[in-house]
Amino acid sequence: MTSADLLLVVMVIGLTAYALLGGADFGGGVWDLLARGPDARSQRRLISHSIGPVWEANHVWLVFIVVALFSGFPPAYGVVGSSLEIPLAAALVGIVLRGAAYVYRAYGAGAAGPDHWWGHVFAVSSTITPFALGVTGAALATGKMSASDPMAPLRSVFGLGCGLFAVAATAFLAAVYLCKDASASPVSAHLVPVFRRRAFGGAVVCGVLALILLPLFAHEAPVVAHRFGDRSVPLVALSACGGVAALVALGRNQFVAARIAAGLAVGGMLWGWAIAQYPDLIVGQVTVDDAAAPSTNIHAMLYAVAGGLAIVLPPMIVLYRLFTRPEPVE
Amino acid sequence: MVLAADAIDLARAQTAFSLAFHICFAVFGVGLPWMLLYTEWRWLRTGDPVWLALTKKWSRAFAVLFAVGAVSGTVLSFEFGLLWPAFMSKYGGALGLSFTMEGFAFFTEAIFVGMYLYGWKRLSARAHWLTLWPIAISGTMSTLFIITVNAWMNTPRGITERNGHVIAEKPFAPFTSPSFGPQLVHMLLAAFMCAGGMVAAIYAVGMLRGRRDAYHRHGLAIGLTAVLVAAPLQLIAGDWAGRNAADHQPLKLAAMEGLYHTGSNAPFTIGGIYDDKTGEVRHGLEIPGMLSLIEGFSTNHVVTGLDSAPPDKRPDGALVHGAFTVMIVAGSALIMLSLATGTAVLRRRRRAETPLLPTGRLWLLAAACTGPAAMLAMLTGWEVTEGGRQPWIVGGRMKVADAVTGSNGAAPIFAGTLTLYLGLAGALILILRRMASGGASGEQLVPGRSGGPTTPSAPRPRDGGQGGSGRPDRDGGEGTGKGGEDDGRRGSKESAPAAEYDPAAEHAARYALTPAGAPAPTARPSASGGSGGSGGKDQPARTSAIPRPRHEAHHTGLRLFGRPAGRHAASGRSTDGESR
Repeated sequence: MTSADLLLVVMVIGLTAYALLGGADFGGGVWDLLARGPDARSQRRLISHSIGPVWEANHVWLVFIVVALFSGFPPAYGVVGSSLEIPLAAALVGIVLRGAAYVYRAYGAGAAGPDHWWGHVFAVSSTITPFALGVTGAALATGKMSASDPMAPLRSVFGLGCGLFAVAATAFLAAVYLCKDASASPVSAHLVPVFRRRAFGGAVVCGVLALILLPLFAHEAPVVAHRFGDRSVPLVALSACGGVAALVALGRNQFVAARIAAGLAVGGMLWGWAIAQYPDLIVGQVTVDDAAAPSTNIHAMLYAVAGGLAIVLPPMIVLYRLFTRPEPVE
Repeated sequence: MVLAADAIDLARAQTAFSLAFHICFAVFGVGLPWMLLYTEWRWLRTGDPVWLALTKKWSRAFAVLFAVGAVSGTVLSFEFGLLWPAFMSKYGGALGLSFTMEGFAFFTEAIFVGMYLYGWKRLSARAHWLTLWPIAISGTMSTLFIITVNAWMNTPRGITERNGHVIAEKPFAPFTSPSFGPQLVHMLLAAFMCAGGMVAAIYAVGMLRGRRDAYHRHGLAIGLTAVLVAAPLQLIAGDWAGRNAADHQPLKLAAMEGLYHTGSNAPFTIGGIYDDKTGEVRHGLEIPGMLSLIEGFSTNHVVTGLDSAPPDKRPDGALVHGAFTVMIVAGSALIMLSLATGTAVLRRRRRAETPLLPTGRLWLLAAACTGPAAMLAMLTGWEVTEGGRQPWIVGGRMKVADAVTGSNGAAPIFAGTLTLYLGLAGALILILRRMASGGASGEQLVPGRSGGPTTPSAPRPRDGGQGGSGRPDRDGGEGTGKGGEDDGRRGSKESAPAAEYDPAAEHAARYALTPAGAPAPTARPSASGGSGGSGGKDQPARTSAIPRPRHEAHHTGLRLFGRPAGRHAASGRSTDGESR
């Protein structure tokens, strides 16, 4: 394994962290958008409370991936930047609006328009970002992207399907996570069945979309699909088992186990794709070896990443532990 | 590569606009945590609710500014690739280490910001204060890492190219750029000046409107101290940066000065419009020989002019000279105000007048201008360093025109960015204005606001008291019965006489700090505020408050500022606090 491969592994770990942590924050926004019924207000409050302390830290994983991509594989970033500008711009709009709307609602006290306007902006933009990132990922797998035709990723049915799949996956994660948050406090315990139902719904949508996308995948991205069949079947099996296990655990009110299983479901899918994608970064256009920066730079990057993670991970664990329990009342 | 000039201009405009937008927030991420460290430390030391009120208010503003800064920074990291793909594909590797380290600094900051903003109840008072340290340090380190990138773009080092390909790069190349030192010091001071100046400006405006309580005086004092102490130092740092430009980027210096002719006895020019055709500065104030004197300590010193480079390799003299002039004028005004304020403070101290800061109308007007002046100087300063590097994106190695995207989408994307950012900025200004004009607690100015249907879904950040939902429960009876566990809780607090009784809060805070040294703290409040009736109430409040001291003090603080009558109490307290 070369140092560039190792950096790639680190990037996929970062991507997994972003999907499981940041993705769930976006999924929370999806459920904010879909909140209905007499409970809608308390659902939104639970979502908002859950993501409040952590969404900024979770968001940094994306910055980490982008920085690793342009430092470790500069030419790949050049190609991505010039041919995926439309989905990436959409993702950025979602990121900016989601973050701003969240704090404007939380701290604005209505000074800049009613809070529920910002709530809607938050919800809609939270849905846009995973969709756009799903489209981006699909374009990397199909390789059907070029600087002269920036709209191409949006015309691909497979790409749009992957966008929907990403939204469904983040929503599934968020619903599973929120069950635990809801169960933590008697004030919100009545929301557990609501989010359990939503987790089931999310899982069903993910499964159906996966079945629809599989033939399209083989057709649109034959190279990756071939490798997927060769290499990724165990991971996909793991992913499916994780999804089922998450639902079973939810049914038994084992919320921590459900979180882990849901993480396996989404993580298994991501790694299955990543392994099938290798050694291409952009299929048919850029491979790992073509794009890797000089190995001295990649070594320096890897040391910096190792040192950085050593500094960052302990406080990150403290952060999550600090906010797992409901806030002390007095 | 030949591209329509439009594409380059659009990409440059988009980058400039996004950077300018981001940096207006980034300076607060650098400066505010250090100021929060001070105010919260004062609160821990004194238990004075004024310091708590300042801390709470600034942490709320910081929460909003940090979030917008974080997302706009993310946009920038994407934009490098979206707008300048050739630049990133060639030099991304060289800049990787700096960006990676900046990423981790940002990580650290975001993690501890989460703990700080949402941990008021979950952390002990001291632990809560301690979380500010990593925020402040990592915010400052982020600046350092980003400056290494910009310094390297100005004066690249540690990289070997052959036939247009990078064949070797030193990993720490960005840290070896000669521009790094002066740029870093210049920018850090600028960040403190901007954050301090804006804080000072907000409290100066409040005082001009007649709110001359301890809360406003302390806020003004801290902000003004930051901006006015940094201003004279900035003169030295700016001089260092200028000399550095003379050594390594002579054309940048020439553009700053609007100097066309290379030669000795070069003049120092302030103001006026540089005319590209004649190479003269019209209507400027010219001091003959001064530039040679400054740079070489002799009028015989030869200074490089713009004529030393062919026209297509010169920066835009009109733009850079104009921006430089604005920066110099704003900076000089701040330095003069700094000297004047320093003199006035010394004189007042000799005469034993209090407060030390002069708070006459003119002084306050001047203080209100420090924030905008500092921001203007910071933005024009960036225009100088970026505009002065043109036409290069990496000095002497890659031209801007060769780095740009060939995309047709630039115009709509720029229009979209403008709309989005200006809309967000407008909303943000409304929110910050509400925060700023709200006095210590902030909510009393919105008594009539109806809680929208989703209001309760917004988290009530902080201590359950500051009220993200901003419900009007503090003014008299207006909020009674408006529901929410929060209101109920506060209502019960307010009804308790102990909550109105300052020393109770003081007790609580002091106990938190010196659990072992309890006897000393007990002595003071009973001595200073031994009014009989509330003394009895004091007792239970204290015992319940020991584990969660901030709570008690916080509510008291809010209560003090929530009513008009609170001002007396507040100012009384604070002088009390200062005398310790």
